[in-house]
Amino acid sequence: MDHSDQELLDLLKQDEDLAIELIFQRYYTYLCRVVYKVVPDAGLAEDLAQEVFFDLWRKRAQLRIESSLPAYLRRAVLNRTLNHLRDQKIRFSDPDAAPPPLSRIAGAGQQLEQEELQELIDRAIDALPDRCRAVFMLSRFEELSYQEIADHLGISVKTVENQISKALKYLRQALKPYLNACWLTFFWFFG
Amino acid sequence: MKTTNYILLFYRQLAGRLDETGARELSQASTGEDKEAIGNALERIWEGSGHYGQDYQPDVEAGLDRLRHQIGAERNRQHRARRLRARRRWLSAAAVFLFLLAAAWWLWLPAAGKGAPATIIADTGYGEKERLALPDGSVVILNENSRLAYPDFFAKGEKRTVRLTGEAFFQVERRADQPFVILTGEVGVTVLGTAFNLRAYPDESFTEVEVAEGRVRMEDNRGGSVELSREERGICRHGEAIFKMPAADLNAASWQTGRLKFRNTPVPEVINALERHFSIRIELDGNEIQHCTFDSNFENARLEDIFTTLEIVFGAEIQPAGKGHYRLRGGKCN
Repeated sequence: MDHSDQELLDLLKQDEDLAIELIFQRYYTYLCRVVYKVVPDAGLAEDLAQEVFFDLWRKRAQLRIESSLPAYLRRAVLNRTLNHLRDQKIRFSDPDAAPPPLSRIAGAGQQLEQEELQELIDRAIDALPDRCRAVFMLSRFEELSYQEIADHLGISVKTVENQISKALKYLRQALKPYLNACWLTFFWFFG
Repeated sequence: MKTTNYILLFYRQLAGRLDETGARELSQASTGEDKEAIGNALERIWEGSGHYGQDYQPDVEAGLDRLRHQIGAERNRQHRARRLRARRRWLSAAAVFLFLLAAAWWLWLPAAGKGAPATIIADTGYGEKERLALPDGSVVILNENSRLAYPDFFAKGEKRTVRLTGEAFFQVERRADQPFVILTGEVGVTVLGTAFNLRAYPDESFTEVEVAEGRVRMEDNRGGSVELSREERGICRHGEAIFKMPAADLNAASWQTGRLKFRNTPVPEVINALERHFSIRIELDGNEIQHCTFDSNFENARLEDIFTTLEIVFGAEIQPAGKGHYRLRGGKCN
């Protein structure tokens, strides 16, 4: 029924049109979301994801993928995202913009359901200054070193860490009234 | 240890970036705030930020359509490039072959009694142009999607007749005793010797002749005719009488009309017009070509196609030399 990633790649190499379409259907949304996390701009996300698939198709005869296909695609779209940020010349010379104050959700002090908490986090991340959010989200991808992020944005590694600290501080502030020390959490590694 | 540093270390650990030194630092750290509370918060944040943007759902079908178009366009482009290369190779091989054949003919056979001429057909496809040398020395530059049928020799005492579908620029050898006639669907063009552009695409509703040099008589199949001289245009619309118009203004409005017209235009002026129209820079790297003139019509043409025409007409070579920058080497006048 379903082809494996490797089968699709083999078909692609043989110039089967269907292969690129199946790969697209499998990973397009995923790639778009990767970009969207860093820069929540749907148009940009879709453009960069498109480029990755077109590039994959163009190189179909000479493809050599060491890692898995999703990791390869993710790396490709992250590269394009970094290049986009570099070309946009996001500058950090402005005095640090402060994120807007968070309004309290009704029912403060009670434990929130998973979804509500997610929504809270989402809104807090939305509210981060663009640059801060971009750095913070980029730092989630373990394949990107802080140095790489710093180089593309034209800042120092120290500044990268500062931006991450800022984001974490703001998000902690957002969550503070709603967290209970006894809450159970679990890890969910992004990737 | 400052809370901030602790937070960063913890976060690094969540991100899987913590090395041994950092791990030790983290476990030994004691901060003002409750470590557990901080840990919980960070874990929630780590998890939550991973889910950020999950509500965003792009239109996969639309994206797939777009990809299909892009791939299709790329395949077409490669296919046309291959066809053009194949055609050029064929042309040079054919030219050599014809030359050899003509040489053999000349050497071994008497001039008289050649028999009936055979018809040669030259075809261009989309995006192609071709330069043809007719047996009397006339030159025809065939534009895209066009066809010219002509004999392999022009018999003495008879008119020189060719048939055209599409568009071509003609430079006709002057022969007072042998008028040159071009037949298109509805319109016949008779010339003695001159340079002009004839446009008669079957899917367009008109036939147009624009004269650069000399005189041209344009006749329709209902007995109407006009005589055109330099810088005049004759237009025949299907079912209507032929009429005359002054030749269209040169390229001042090309940016708006998408039309570039060159009539006996010196090559340096051609270069200027192209530079303006496409916002590029072209260096002329050749002595003779600076003194040549050029005649052609381009409507919404791509730069690539115009370059191909120049290359074919003058035997020159145009190479990119940086962004928006080109170099034109060599070339001889016709």
